[in-house]
Amino acid sequence: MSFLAPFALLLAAAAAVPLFLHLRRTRVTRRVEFPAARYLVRATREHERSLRARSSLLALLRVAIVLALAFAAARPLAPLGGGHGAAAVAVVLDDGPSGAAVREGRTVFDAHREAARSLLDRLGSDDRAWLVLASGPTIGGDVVRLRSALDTITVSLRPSDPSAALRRGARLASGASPLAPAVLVATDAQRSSWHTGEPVPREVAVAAFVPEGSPVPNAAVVAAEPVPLAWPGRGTVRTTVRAPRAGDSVAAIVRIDDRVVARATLGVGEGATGTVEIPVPSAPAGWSAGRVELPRDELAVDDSRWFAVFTGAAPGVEARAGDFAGSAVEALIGSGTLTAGSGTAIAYADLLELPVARRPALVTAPADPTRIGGANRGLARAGIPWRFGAERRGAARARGEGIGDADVLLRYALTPEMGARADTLATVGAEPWIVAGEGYVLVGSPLDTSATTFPITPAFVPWLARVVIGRVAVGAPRLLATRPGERVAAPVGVDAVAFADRVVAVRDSISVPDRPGVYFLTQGGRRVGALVANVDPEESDLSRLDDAALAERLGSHARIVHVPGQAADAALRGASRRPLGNALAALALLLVAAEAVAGGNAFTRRAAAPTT
Amino acid sequence: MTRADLMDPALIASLGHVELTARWIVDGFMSGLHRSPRKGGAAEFAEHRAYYPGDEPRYVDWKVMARADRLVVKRFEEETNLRGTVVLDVSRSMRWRGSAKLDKREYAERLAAAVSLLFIRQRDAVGLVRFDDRIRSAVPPRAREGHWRRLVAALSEDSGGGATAGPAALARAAHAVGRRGMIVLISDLLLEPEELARAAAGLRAAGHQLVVLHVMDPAERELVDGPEAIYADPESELRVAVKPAEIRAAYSRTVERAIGEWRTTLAGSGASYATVMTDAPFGIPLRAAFAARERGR
Repeated sequence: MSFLAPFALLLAAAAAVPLFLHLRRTRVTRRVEFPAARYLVRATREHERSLRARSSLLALLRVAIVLALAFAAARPLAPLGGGHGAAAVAVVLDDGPSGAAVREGRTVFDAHREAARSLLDRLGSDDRAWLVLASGPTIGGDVVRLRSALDTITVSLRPSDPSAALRRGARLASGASPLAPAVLVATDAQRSSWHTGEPVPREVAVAAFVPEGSPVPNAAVVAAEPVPLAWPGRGTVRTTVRAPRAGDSVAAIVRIDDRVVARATLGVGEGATGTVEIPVPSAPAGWSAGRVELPRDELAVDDSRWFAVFTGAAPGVEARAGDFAGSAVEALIGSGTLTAGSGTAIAYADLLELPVARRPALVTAPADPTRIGGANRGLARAGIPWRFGAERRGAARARGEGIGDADVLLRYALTPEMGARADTLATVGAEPWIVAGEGYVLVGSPLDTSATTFPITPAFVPWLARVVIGRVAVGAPRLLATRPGERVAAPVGVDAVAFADRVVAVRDSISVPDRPGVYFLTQGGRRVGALVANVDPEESDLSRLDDAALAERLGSHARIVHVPGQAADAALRGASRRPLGNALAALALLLVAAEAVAGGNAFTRRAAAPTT
Repeated sequence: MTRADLMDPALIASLGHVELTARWIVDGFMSGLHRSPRKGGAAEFAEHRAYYPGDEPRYVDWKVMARADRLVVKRFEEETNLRGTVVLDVSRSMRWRGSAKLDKREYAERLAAAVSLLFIRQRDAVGLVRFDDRIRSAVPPRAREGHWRRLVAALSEDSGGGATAGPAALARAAHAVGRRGMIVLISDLLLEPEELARAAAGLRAAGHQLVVLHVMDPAERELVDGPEAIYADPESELRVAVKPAEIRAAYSRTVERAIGEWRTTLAGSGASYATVMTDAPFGIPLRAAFAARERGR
């Protein structure tokens, strides 16, 4: 037996009250004159035993009433009868990429499907059911429809969140009152997929099926990116691989436009990961789709990883935005990522009044607050549709891709002009801090430590390279790293995206296909960037939660089984445990009636008190 | 027209003083008899009295009717063949009222007046003894109609309120009756049964007939609900703490057993016994007394 509201059992302590009243020696002070008192004395004497027994019975009944009410309030569930009562069952299927791992000739997801089917086979017309996929979709309908839908479901390479799916399923099941709510989760208990969230209500019976056995050994490419981002005819691919064990070595090949251009053997060190830059001697000019591949293993979906590269001359850059920006540009020139030149400017906004104007530029707020007026005139002259507004002081954390842990101490509110269209690259609070438009990136603070810690963070130089090449320089690439099935905002200036079989016009956002790959962004039919969709690298870590850790994430009342045939029983145990609350409340009422009869209160007309 | 002997006693009591209401009660009672109870044979003429419904037409003095245009009946000395005494308990316990509207003494006084009048109407001599722990008043038996007013006046006395000493009162009544007669005891019988039984046996041995009308308030027969309290006998030191709800059923059984014991004990002593509830119409105890009188003739 279990209780949905166990704290109500504390009410059972109130049973001590009638017991105490029964046992205590009564001190009666009320006096009633009654001529026939001799008959009362005689009745008391003649019926002493039965009166005492009746008094004990009454005390017992009163204790029983309090206990019955306390137990009813605790909402107990107990197994009654055979089979199961009508149930509302959500089958949560973990269809994440890790489910594609093959073990003993079948995928992990096949075992998930078998457990789900064993449960669906047990359901009847009185039950309701849903298939809730960790990758997002929910399928409802009758059991026959769900069985056939189950056959068509395959592993999804989209980001999956089984924790969120569990809560979605629990809400569906508990919303189908008065059916007994239940959730069956079929999952491989992948450690990186499960997180602790909002607790599942106790009235929802949660069961989990986790396939038996340990995870298969898995080698995977978890990162692949061109270095530098734009190749001046040749470059390298920085590749990170994960191997089953530290000390393993993994053979990798690099393909560009389906042609093998490089091979390498990667040693794996501590943490079972290793990173190496694989030289690529040549690449075709313009945009190319590249791929790093490993030999196929039990989990194939992460054995290759896509990247996109732009091959052409490195952009020339002139930096006039303080010492930090100047040092970063020098370092990038030294690494071949940039060249010294005047094609692109990195400058304080107030310098835009000078001849640097009308060039592609990364523009920052002026170091001298008194120059804000000149800075806004410079923005106007350069055709940048933003202005510096009110000064904002006080430390606040900046948020944005590639920003790292940067704090902002001084900034100016960035105010758009009429018709301004830009991407927000970073924010402080609810306000934009860095915005990017056609041929410019605008930062709301000067890039020095009096205004922000960003220039002294490790993220600064890579970020600078990425925005100069990807956002500012003439003909530079726009690279969007994403995951299959996601929806991303379309970069400014992009009007279409070329998929394998079609070109789709772009307005505000782009729906990324469910398959990993490189999809080119175009402007007027010309490639101007690429959308690179890869499986989440965390999916390559197949380590599992043990049962206790998984139960912690599912809810303490969850039951975990490892045999598909046991999944149905585990999930439907809630339906076989029927609520006893109403029965106990009825019992309490019966006891009250019995107490009234035994106490002589029932159907007794209360007459006027005797007077003398 | 509704007969007063069958009406709610509280309603009858509210309509007038004892004398008036007793007349209504007895008139109603006698009009309900199938025939006149008198069997008086030929004897020496004693007096005329007014005709009342139920009187046998053969006793109507038609000559007086012809002369005075009013109905009178002739009474004969031999018809006053019974001497009776009503013995009324006026102890403190008789002043108690539970669920009824009249207390036991109010009820008993009206009943005593009615019984007396009934006897006088039957040409019997009736006296009265009122007692509590001692004799409070005593009126010797007489048969004249005017005597009844004396009895009513004695009933109206406010004395009494002590404990109950029934046997002494019965002895005094027997002494007042003198020769063989009838004694009607109206009491709540909150006294020792053995003493009363002994007194009853003594009366029986002396040739007297005893009729006991046991006056009870309904709340004494069926305990009313209420909170736990100490129930105290007003005439003694008897105390008992009870919860009415718990003892109610047992109490009822005990009272019924006690009533049965009274009936058996008094029957063994040759006395008649009837319980009289203070919410019952006066006709019921009146009938009991009348039946006893008929048996005693």
